[in-house]
Amino acid sequence: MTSFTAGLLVCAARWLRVGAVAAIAWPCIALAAGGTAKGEAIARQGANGAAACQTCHGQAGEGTAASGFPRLAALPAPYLARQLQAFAAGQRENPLMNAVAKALSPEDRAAVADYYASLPAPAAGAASASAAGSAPAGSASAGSAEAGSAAAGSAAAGSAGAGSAAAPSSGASGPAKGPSNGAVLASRGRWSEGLPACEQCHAPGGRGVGDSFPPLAGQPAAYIASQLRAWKAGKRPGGPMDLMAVVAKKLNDADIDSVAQHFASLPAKGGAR
Amino acid sequence: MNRAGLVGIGVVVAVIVGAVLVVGYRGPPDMREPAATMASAGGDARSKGAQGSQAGAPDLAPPAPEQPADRKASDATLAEGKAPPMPVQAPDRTAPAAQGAPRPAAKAAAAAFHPPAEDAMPSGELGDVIRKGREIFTDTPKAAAGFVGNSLRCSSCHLDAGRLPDSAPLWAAFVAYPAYRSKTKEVNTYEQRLQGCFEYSMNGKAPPAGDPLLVALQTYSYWLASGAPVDPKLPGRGYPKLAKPGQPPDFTRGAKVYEQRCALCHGADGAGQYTPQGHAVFPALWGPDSFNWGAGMGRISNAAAFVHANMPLGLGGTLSEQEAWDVALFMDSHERPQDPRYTKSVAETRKRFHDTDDSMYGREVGGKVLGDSGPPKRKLASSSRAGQAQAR
Repeated sequence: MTSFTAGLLVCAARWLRVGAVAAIAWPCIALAAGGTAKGEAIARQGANGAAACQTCHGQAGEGTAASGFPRLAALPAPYLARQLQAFAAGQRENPLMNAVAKALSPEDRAAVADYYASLPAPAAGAASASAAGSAPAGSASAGSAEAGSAAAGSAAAGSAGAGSAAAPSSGASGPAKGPSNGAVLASRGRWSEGLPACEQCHAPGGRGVGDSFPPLAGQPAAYIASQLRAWKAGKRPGGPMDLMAVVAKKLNDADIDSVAQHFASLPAKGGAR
Repeated sequence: MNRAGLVGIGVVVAVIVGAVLVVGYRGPPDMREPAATMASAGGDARSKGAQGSQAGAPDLAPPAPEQPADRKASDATLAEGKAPPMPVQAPDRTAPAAQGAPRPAAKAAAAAFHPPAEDAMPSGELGDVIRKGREIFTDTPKAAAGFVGNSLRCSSCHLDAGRLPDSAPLWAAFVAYPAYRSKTKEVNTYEQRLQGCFEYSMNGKAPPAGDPLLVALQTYSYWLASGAPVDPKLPGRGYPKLAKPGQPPDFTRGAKVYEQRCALCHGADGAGQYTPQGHAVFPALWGPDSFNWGAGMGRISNAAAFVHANMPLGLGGTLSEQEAWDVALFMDSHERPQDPRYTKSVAETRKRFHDTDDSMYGREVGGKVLGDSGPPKRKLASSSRAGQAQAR
């Protein structure tokens, strides 16, 4: 009972802060009504002068590798909503997205976040198909991942099946070659410098976990690299506990390119655990 | 319908929405009433018995200097413990303390000994077993199925696959055995020490002596220790001990630290976070899927030392020592699987194995006696979580 009262107080405080009951209530109702319909409409047609999301992020939210537009499909809704909020407030910088996010109301942003979160992860390799150059196909067989070699193994199997981009470069890199620098950083980190493995938070194969650790698999390499550089330069908020800023500052340029290639080459769905 | 009717409907909707938000805002049950009634624990890390009379340090921390028992029950700072409700997810925010210079101790230790580089693993039969040992170490629930009763991995507490100084590295443990252990009251070999990990930290059952699993883990440890002297005091061993905290560890302060620095990954309910396939990305810190009451991490001083040196991941050294003590007490003031050494009752088990301020076992927190869950229930499906996930 006390917690109920406390909850009501919290609730009331939120309402007062936001200034309008509707701002909080509306997304809840929309969600309850199975209403990702509004989000879908925005994604397909835009709203308030903002361009349709799918123009850049692809029909199914799979992203556009060549231009580095990120995958949105199956990312956690709270994460997407926070990013839109950060773009709208100018905390996260990107001229296109700043304009779009500002044009959307808070309800619009919540709806479109819910919509993209509800989409299935894109088919393997979609975003990585045109990921630049030397995608480390051998990388996925990095073997002894911190989080388990089975994950790396299955990732390898997955990308072999579907990653058309990864296949050609595997021959080039030679069969007996060890894992790429990016694959090592992804699965083991560089603890001599206090750098955890990416997979220790973003899950084996970069599949993501929970609301705060989005998937990396199948994100365009150009996008991953640009975000790591933005964190490193202090141009993107570091996220909870500033974790990503701390991590990115321990990466050099070669690390960033290699780890971006690595995750771009991994399948976004199927086969992992 | 008239306007009054519409307003009425609006009110009803608002109330429903409010109720939904309320539900979403409640903390997990065990955090809602944490009012601990016992004196706080862990007042003195070096109090007699704190060092090893109960669970072994996750690796086997060096023996503590013998000091007279300091059992003065500290004040009842827990008495009013009330944890605030925990937001399940933290918003993007920049934490002030996040950029502290991490791990000075680790660097000093690292200068003393470096295990061989990963890619220097030998090939051939020996190399195969070394690699097998590494796999068991980092993927324990799968690679050691049948001997593991939770979803932790050895590398959950021994970071960097057992290589990292000040994170109970295997290379330092390997050269510290055989050793007398107050936990077992006898001289144990390294293999026996590994068996203890399975029984307590993994809440499982020990593989029999000579089992290929233990052979592989020993072989991996041996390889990591290449070039190290036989020395139980190798710098970097165990977790760096913290001095006695300025204030007795406090549940309420600990709950706040937990909310701000731990819940993002380990969850407001301490249950960790899992892939849909049941793989624990972030291990459970308490509850049925965590280490049991006999594990070294259940010792507050030991947990505080681990947390201070290594948590949050990548931000080791950024919590104050006081914060580490507080949050360690908080973590170890939650229910977890029974101590496998359980005798007839919690009280007697506490007396035999936990009779120190360093353990909350058998003490009352939030109106319940910790550990009062009856004899151990062993289920070794290895991944209870994975089972659940598949059932869904």
